[in-house]
Amino acid sequence: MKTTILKTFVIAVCVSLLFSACKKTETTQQIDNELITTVGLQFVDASTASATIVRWEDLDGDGGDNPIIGFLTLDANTTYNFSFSEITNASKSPAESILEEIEEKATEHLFYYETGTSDFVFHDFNLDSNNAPLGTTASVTTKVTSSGTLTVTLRHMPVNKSATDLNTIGGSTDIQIGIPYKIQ
Amino acid sequence: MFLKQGFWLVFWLFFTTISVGQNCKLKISGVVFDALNGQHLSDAVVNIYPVKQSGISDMEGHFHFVDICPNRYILECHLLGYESFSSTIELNKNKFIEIGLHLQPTHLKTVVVSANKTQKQILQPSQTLSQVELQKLSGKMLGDLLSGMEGMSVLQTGPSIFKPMLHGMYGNRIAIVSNGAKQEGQQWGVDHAPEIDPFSAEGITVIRGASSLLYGSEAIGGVVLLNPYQFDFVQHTNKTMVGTTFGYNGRLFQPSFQTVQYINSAWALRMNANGKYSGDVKTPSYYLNNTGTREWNGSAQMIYHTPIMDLENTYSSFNSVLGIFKGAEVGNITDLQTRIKQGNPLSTSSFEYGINRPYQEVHHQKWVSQAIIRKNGEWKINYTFQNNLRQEYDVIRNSGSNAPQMQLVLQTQHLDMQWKHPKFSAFSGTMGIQNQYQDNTWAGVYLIPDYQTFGTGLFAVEQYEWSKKTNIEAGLRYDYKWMQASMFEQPKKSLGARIYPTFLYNAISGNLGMGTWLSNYTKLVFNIGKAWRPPSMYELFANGVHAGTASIERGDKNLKVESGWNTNLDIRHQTNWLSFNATFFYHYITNYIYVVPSKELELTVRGAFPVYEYQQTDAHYFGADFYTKMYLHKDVWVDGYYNLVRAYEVHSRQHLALIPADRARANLVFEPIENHELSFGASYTYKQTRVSDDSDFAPIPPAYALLNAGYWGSFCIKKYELKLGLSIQNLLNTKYRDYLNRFRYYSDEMGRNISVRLFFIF
Repeated sequence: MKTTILKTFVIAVCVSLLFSACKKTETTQQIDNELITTVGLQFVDASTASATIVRWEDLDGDGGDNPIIGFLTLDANTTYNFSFSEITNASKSPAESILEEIEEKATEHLFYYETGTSDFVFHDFNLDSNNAPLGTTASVTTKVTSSGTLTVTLRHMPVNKSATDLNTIGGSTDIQIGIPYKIQ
Repeated sequence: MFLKQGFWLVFWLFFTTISVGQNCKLKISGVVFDALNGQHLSDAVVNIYPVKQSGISDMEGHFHFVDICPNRYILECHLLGYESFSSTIELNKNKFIEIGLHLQPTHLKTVVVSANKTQKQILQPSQTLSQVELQKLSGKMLGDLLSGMEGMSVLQTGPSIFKPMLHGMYGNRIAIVSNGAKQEGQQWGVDHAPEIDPFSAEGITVIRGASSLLYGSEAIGGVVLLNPYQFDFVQHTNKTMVGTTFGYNGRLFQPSFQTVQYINSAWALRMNANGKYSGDVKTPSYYLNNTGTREWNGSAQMIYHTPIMDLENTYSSFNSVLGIFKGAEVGNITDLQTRIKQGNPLSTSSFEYGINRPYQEVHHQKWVSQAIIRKNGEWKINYTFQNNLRQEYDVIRNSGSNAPQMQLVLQTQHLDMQWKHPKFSAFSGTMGIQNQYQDNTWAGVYLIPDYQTFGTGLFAVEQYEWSKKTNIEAGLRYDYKWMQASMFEQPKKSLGARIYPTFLYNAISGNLGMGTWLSNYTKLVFNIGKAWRPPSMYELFANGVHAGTASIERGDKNLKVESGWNTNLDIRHQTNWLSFNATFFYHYITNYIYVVPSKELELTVRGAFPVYEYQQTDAHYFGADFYTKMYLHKDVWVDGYYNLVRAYEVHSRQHLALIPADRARANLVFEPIENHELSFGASYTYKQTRVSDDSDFAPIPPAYALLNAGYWGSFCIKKYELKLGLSIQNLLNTKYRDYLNRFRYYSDEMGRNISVRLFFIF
């Protein structure tokens, strides 16, 4: 009887060790880290069709090197068609398009643009399938000359898509970048 | 008419006989000591026949039995190395007995209790929670359960993550030992709770003093010991317990099972299993969305026992899934400040059991093999293997993915050997060697590198009986530790050359202690020692956003070893009706490692994050724990606790962050019927005034008071026992926040919670 008990015990232990070993291999697969390294903003002049692209890029993610931030120059008294030239994770090869994922999950995302002045406004955002704003494309109207910082914020799982201030919009911030600009 | 009177007379006589017989509230208490030198003896087994009650004398040799009927009994006491003691006692009122045991002249006879696996430095102040006290707290996580003990507080990350804190120290500064083996998980993380099921232990002892001698470098603040079950082959009582705990707040359900089976005179087995299923927790005003938990744990302990040898194997498995409050998902510093100003979650929902991302999943498997040989003293060898898997599942766009965003696997092996030499003249002691090998791998978001460590510790502790009343203990330990990380020069990008930073540490630690009985009831203990702690991999190599704190932490690979002098003074007075205990402690730590705001803001794609850096300084930690218990009446007692901790940098005299505020607690307990008690308690936590509002992201929360009440009763039906507990915490549904809970930035603490506990023992 002693040996039977010992045997059962040893077998039980081996089985449980095996079980824990299995669990480990299953999870060493691909792990998603969803890093965004590069954001490109494209402004196309509605009348002349000339395009201006400005980029924000931080290839190594948090820490390490500082991000490389472009400078945006736009003409006064002009209307532009705004869109993103890219939102990618360029740390992977080939670079992974995050913009595609955002557009696929349009109801779970909202872009917010702050310029600090009513002379540089983003309006007429594109909509998601619930007719709520998304903002991956918009119209931009500039008036008099000015300068400042354009802050582009992407909120994931916003609480209130019809709100006009970031706090009420809620959700978690996936992008918040500041691009210095000049309207001339 | 005569018949009627007669009937009432008989009835009345019968009734009074029964009620006299029911006055079973007498107490037997006493002390076990060595008849020759008067030293108080711990771990002596004391039995009362024919009541079949059994107890074990505590560290001061004290034991007590309650609820005994007046009668004549045989009291029997035995302890390894001593001759058994037996005496008849006549009990008609509470009795205090002094049992003097005589040493056995020849070598060991039949061993009656398998040797004590919990190695205690005998002279450090400590407190133990018994099995019954653990049952009264079932359903709580380990850190939460421990927070009521002397010297303890708790560092929280929301309602499901509790990190035990002893004298203001936590994480890598206190060791948690379960079943004789030090628990190895990612202790450096503030939001990493210890992966231990309190039910796997028979009792929990907290040692409030540096215990590096026996437990290694991470016990600089103290140790939490989860005491394993002690098999008793003399009584060999098979016992099974089936229980369940229900908690209203969070709709918690925890079924549990435990059994001890003596298969024959040499083999015995203990098994336990439990699970936890809970959903969203509620503050006084709203539910905290996604704060459910799941847990499934089990252990099996098997022993082969002979008079000369014990062979024991234990396997335990701890598994948990913890939902992280959705409202604590904060991005950058601006988001955090806006959220703090708002004070409460932006959106709340109704109760749900479901756990969605973000959540943590932790699995911990532990295997311990131990051999004890009782010849020429006592030899002990043990081998432990632990596997710790920790995963973080964040909110992601790709809803098809089942993978975590961060994963750490830590495997640790221990091989320890020690020898408790036979007592010669007044000297007793132990010496040993402890070896550890560890391997860590990471995947996903970088927090710490892959690494391996190897450590060896050689120690010797001797106790000398200076006199009948005074013991002196001295110990010395030498540690060698080698750590090597394997990482890219730019670890997060996996770019650059592969580098292997290597660290080598040598340290000597030691302790000198003295314990003296000032009277039969008062003991004074004094300790002074030196301890050390190597920096953790996180303190050396952290480089990234610290989850949920909207800050970036940066390690420093040039950090040196922490080393410190520590001293404590403990006074304990215990009589039948009054207990009083005061512990005063002081640590001076050179090269104390801590994290400091750098005034730098780092720009990331998610916005600006303040940067915190790991630095070293010299620090003082000091404080006191007070405890008192008084019997106002034989069925009524009151107890009180007061804890205080002060910690600050030596040169700037600035107080350190994350130090608990002072706390006072009191309980009033009534036992109107035997085995049934009603308790009422109150606690008051002061505001932490030693940290300025502008050194933290949010204003420091104000002081708060909490009330609680409970009932605990035991019903005996033939050989079966049913234990029933009802407890109400935060009775008045008080709205409050605690400085040591990181989620105070986002929400209030849990509101009222009513728990029901049922245990059926047969």
